[in-house]
Amino acid sequence: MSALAGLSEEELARYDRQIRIFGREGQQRLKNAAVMVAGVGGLGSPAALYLAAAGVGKIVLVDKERVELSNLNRQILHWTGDIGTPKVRSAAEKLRKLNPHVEVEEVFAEINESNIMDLVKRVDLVIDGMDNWETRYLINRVCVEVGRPFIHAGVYGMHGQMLVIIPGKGPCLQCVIPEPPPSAEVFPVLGTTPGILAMMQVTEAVKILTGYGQPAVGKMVIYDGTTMTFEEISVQKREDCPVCRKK
Amino acid sequence: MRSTETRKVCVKLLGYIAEMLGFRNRELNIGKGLRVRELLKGVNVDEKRIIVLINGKPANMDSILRGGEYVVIMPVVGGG
Repeated sequence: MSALAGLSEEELARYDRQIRIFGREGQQRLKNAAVMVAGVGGLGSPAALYLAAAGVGKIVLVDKERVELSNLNRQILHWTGDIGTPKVRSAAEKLRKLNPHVEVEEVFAEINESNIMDLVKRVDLVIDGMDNWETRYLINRVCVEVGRPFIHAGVYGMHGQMLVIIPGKGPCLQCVIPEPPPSAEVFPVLGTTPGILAMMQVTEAVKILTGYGQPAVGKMVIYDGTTMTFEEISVQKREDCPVCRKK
Repeated sequence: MRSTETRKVCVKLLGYIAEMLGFRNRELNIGKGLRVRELLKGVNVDEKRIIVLINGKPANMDSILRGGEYVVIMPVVGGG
């Protein structure tokens, strides 16, 4: 089958354990896919790491910041020697070493109205690694507009939530959270919290890209590390949502 | 007309709100009906940082419950 020609013997061996889940065709779909990681911090670092390990063909890293010492408890792609380096560069270096089959694009820039449309149109799916609601709302709006899945997560302390947004198939971020909550400059967080949420985001991304399993559309998954509990909250599309209404 | 006995709501609280109120899931008799904020019995929450869902759709602390609803009150977190 021509669709399988793109996987080398080395790649077939590298991905053997997951090919046993979703087959060579699923792996080929991952290789053909492009994913944007919006923010390469606590969520975006582990998310990008696992996307690269899984063999997603192209990863677009977008972040405007440089590595700081206080990032290192959770932003696991950035190490002590990377302090002062743009996060996209620090992350890209490790991802290329982990998996040379993956193309990593570095976008050292702020996500804003002027670049978001171009960024989203070039990928198949967007991972939310942001730390502010304004940019999340912007990404959500454009993803709904151009029909790209957007996998939201947010964390604080030992708590987090995740919502999978597949345009046309369920509620968007603004259906569920109509007004942006205040964003905090500095917030408490245990490194494992964004790690756990990022693993959930990548699991959903791989399912959507390969077509395997059932995406978690229409439910918010809530993690509470203080009691080690996961809750599932059913959420619905809102008729008066300003984002979905335009669609 | 429905009797007051049938006017019940299912309430799910998450995160620190559950800790403050001392329960996570509870069925409550609401009598003639009440506002969501009355479920919290005076416990202070930052309303800008929580979401209220009634039957899966966004609502707010002033939404009125009349019975039969499934109410979720949860903190929403935004770090990344």
